Amino acid sequence: MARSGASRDWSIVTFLFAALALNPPVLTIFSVDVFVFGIPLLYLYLFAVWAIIVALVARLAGAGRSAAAEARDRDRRGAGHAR
Amino acid sequence: MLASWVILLVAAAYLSLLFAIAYYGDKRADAGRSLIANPYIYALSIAVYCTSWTFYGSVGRAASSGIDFLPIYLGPTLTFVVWGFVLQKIIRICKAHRITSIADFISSRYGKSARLSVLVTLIAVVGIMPYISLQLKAVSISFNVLLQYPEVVMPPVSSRVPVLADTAFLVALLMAMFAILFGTRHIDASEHHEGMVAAIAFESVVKLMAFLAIGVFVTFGLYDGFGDLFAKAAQAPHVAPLFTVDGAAGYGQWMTLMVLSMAAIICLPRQFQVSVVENVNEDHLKKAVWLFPLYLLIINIFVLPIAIGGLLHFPDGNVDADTFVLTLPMAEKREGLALFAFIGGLSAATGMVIVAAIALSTMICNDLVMPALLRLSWLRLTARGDLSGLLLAIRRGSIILILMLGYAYYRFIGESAALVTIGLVSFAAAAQFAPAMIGGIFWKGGTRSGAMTGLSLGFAVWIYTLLLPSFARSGWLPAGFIDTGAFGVALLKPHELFGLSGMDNLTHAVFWSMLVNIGGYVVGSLLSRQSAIERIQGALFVDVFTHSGAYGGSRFWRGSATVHDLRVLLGRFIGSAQADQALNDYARARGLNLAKLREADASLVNFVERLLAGAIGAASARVMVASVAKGEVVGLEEVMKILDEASQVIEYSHGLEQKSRELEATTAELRAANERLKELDRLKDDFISTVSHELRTPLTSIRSFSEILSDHPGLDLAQRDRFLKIIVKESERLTRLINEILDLAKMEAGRMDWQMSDIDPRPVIEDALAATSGLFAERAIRLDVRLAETLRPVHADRDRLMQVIINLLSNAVKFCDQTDGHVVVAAESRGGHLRFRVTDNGQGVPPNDRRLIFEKFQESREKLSNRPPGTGLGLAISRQIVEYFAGSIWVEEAPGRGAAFCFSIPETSDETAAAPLGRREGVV
Repeated sequence: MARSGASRDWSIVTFLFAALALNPPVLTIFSVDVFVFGIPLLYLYLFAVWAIIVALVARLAGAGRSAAAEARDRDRRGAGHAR
Repeated sequence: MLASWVILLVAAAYLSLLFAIAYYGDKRADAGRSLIANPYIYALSIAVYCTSWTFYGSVGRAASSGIDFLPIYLGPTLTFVVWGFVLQKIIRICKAHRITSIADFISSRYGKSARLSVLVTLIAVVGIMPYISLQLKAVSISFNVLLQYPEVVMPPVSSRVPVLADTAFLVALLMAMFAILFGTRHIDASEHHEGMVAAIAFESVVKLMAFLAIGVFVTFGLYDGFGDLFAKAAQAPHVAPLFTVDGAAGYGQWMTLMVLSMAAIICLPRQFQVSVVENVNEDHLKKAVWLFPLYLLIINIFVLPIAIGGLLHFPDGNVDADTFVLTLPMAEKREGLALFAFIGGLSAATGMVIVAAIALSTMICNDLVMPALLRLSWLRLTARGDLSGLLLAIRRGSIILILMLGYAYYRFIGESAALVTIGLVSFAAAAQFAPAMIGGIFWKGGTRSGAMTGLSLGFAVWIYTLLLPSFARSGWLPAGFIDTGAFGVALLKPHELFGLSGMDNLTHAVFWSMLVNIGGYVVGSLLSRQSAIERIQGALFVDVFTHSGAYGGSRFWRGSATVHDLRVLLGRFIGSAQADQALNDYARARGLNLAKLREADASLVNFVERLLAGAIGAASARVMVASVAKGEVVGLEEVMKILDEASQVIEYSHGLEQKSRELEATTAELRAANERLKELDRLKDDFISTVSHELRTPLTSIRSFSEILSDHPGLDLAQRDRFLKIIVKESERLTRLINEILDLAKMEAGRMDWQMSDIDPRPVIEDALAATSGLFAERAIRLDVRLAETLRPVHADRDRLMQVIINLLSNAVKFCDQTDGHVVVAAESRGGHLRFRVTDNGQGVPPNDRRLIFEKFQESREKLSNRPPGTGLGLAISRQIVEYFAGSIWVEEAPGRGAAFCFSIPETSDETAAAPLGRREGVV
C-alpha cells in the first residue's frame, strides 16, 4: 500500500477525534452564550477544530511517500543490487 | 442600473471564457501536455461540491437555524481524513477496471450485473433531479433578483409564467447546451474530460473569490469586523439564538447531515466523476485531501457573518435569506459587487450541473440505453459499423433529458422549498449507494442479490418518505397522504413511518432507508450465493492493493477471439483510429506483432473488454465481448484455485511446489527401486541359467560315463575304475555345488543357522591353512604366512569363518602363477578390525571386475584357458558370510603382479558384542 502503517493508524485516530469533537455531545459543551475575542464560542470552536484536522491530514498525507518516489527508490535499490 | 443585457452579456462572456478554458485544456491534453496534471487543479475540481447550495443556500440555512449549515462541510472533511482507506481504494479499483461511473462501479463489483447498473442509474437520475432543480432555481432567482436592481424585490413565482418565458427553463436549456459542448465532444475510452476539469477548477476559484468578496464587504464594509458584527447581532433578539444550539433537540439533524455529507462526497455521481474518474494521478490525492477541506473551511468562514448581516439589514423578513449574498451588495448600491456575486453563483451552479449531467449521461448511456439497445436483436447493433456517433447522440439526449427533469422538479415541486432542503433530498438518495459501495470494497461476501435488495429497499423508502411527500405538498398527490398516511393507514404516514415520531423528516427518512438498505444488503448477501464472476470481482475489489499490477482486470475470459474481430468491435465504439492506437500500444508494450497474430489470447480479450468498459460500461462491454469471443467462462472451481486472496494463492503455490518436490523425490526413489528390481530380475535369470549350466556339466559327464559302463560290460578293470572315479568325483562336485547353492539361498533368505561366539582368529586361520596345505603341496606353491603377534577375538561363526578363509586360499591356489606360484597370507589387527589378506601372483583381477567377482557365478571374465574347476559361488558365499559378521570383503591389486583378496571383521568389544545379532536382518 502506498501509505505506511503508522500513518494509516494515525489517520484512524484523527478520524475518531474529529468525529468526537465535531458532533454532539461534545459540541454541546461549547454551545454557550460566550464570546471569545468578540466571536461566539461555538463558531470559533468549530472552525478551530476544523483547522486542526486539516493540518493533521496535511501532515499525515505528507508523511506518506509518493508512489513515484517509491518507484524511484526501488529502481535505485535494484541498480545497487546489480552492482 | 443593471440592464438585463448587461447581465446577460457578462454571463455570456463568463461562460465563453469557461468554454475557452475547457477547449484549451482539451487541446493541451491531446498534445500530451496536460493542464490538470497537478494536485491543485484536482483539489479545486473536487470543490465542485460547493454548488449554489453553498453559495446561496448556506446563508439561507444559517439565517434560519444558525450553525447547522456546517455539518455538510465537516462530513467531507471527516471522509477525507480516512482517504487512504476509502477514496484511494476506490480510485485504484476504478483505474484497474476502467470504471467510469458509480453504476459501473457497483455493477462491476457485483459480477458486472446489468440489472444492478440499471437500478443504480435509475436511483442516480431520480435522486439527483432535485439537486439540479436547486441549481436552476438559484440561477433563475439570482438573475431575476439582480434584474430588479436597484430595487430589492423577490421575483414572481415562476409557475405563473409560461414555460418558455421562465428564466429557469432558459437556464436549463443553456446549461444543457453547455454540458453537451463540454462533455460529449467525442467518445474517449478513458472518459477523461480534461478541459471540463480545468473549467471546473477555474469556476471553483471564481466562486470562492466572489463569496469571499461579499463576506469581506459585509464584515468589514458594512460592519467593523467580526467583533462589531457579532456584538450588534447579540443585541438583536431574532439573531442572537443563531450562535448557540438549544440542547439535544437542536442537534437532531446535525448527525444526520454529517453522515449524509460523509457519504455524499463519494456517492454523489458528480463527486465520483471528479475525484475518481477524472483523477489522473493517484499522488494528487495526497495534497487534495487537505486542500479540499481547507477550501471548504475558507468558503464557510463568512457564511454566518453574511447571514447575520442580511438579517440585521432586512429585519422585516421580506427578503429571502437564500438571496442575501446578492441582495446585500444590491441594497448598498454596489452593482459591480452584486454582478460579481451573481457570476460566483452562476459558477457554482454551472459547475455542478455540467459535471452532474456528464456523469449521469454516461450512466444513462452506458448502463441504461446501450444494454437495452444491444439486447434488442432486431436492431442488429452488434453487427453495425461505427457506433461512436450513436453513443454521442444518446449522451446528448440524456443531458437534455436530465436538465428537463430537473426543471420539471423545480417548476412543479421545488419552488416553495429552501435550497438546502431540496439539496438534502438528493443527498439522502446518493447515500443509498454507500452500503453497496463501502461494503463492496471491504467485504468479499457482499453479493449481487444483497446489493439489489439493499438498494431497492433503500430507494423505495427514500421515495416514500422524501419524494412522495414533496409531491403531496405540491398537490400532485392528495394532501391526506402526509397527514393520514397512504390509504388512510396511520402506520404508513411518510413522516412517521410505523409510528416512529419525534424526528425531523430528513432524519426519519435516512434512518428508515439506511436501516432497510444496510439490512437488506447484509442479510441478502448472507442468504445468497455468489456466482463465479461475483467472486472474482469481489476478490479483485477488496484486495485491489495486492492485485493491481498483477491482475490488470478480471481474468474471466478463458476463450479467445480473433484480433480482427476485437479491432472491429473496438473501432465501432471508440472510433477505428483510436482503436488501432490502443491495440498498437498494447502490442508494443507486450512485444507482440498484432499483424501476425490471428488469435487474441485471453489477456488481449480482457484488455479490449476494459477499454470498451470505459466507453460503454462494464455490463455492456461484457455483452459485446461475449458476442465475438468464443471462449467459455471460467468455472467456479477453477476460480477458487486461481484466485482468492493473494496470500492464499502464494500459499497454495508453495504447497504445490512442496508436493511436486516430494513427488519428484518419490519418483526418483521409485525409479531407483525399479532399476534395482530389474537388475535383480536379470541376476535371477542369470543365476538360474548359470545354475542349470553348472549342474548340467557334471551331470552330463556322470551320465555319459555311466552309459559307457552300462553299454560296455566288457571294459577292462582299469578303464572301468577310472570311469567310476570320474563319476564319483563329478557327483561330489555336484553335491558341493548343490550344497553351496543351498547355503547361499539360505543365507540370502536369512534362514541360515549361525553359531555366533567370540572366537580367536589365529587357530581358525591355522586350521584352514592346515586343511589346504595339501593343495599347496600338490602345486608346489610357496606359501608365506605372516600373522601378527596378537590377534584380538572376533565375533563370528567359527565354521563359516573357516569356510571363507579356505575359499580364499583355494582361490589363490587356483589362480596363482602355474609354474612359480607364490601366495602370501597375512592377518593383523588394525583399527578395531581383524584384517585378513591373501595375495597371489596370478594374472590379477581387472579393475572393472573387482566388484563383479563377488556376485554369484561371476568369475573373472579374463579366464585362464584351462580354468581350474570352480563353482563360481565361493566368493559370493564368502561375501554373504563376511557381511553377516558386519565386515567387508574386497579385492585389490597386489604389489607387483596378482590379486590380493582381503576381508576385515570388527573385533569384539563391549559395544560390538551384540552387534551381529542386531544386523541380522540388515545384511541379508
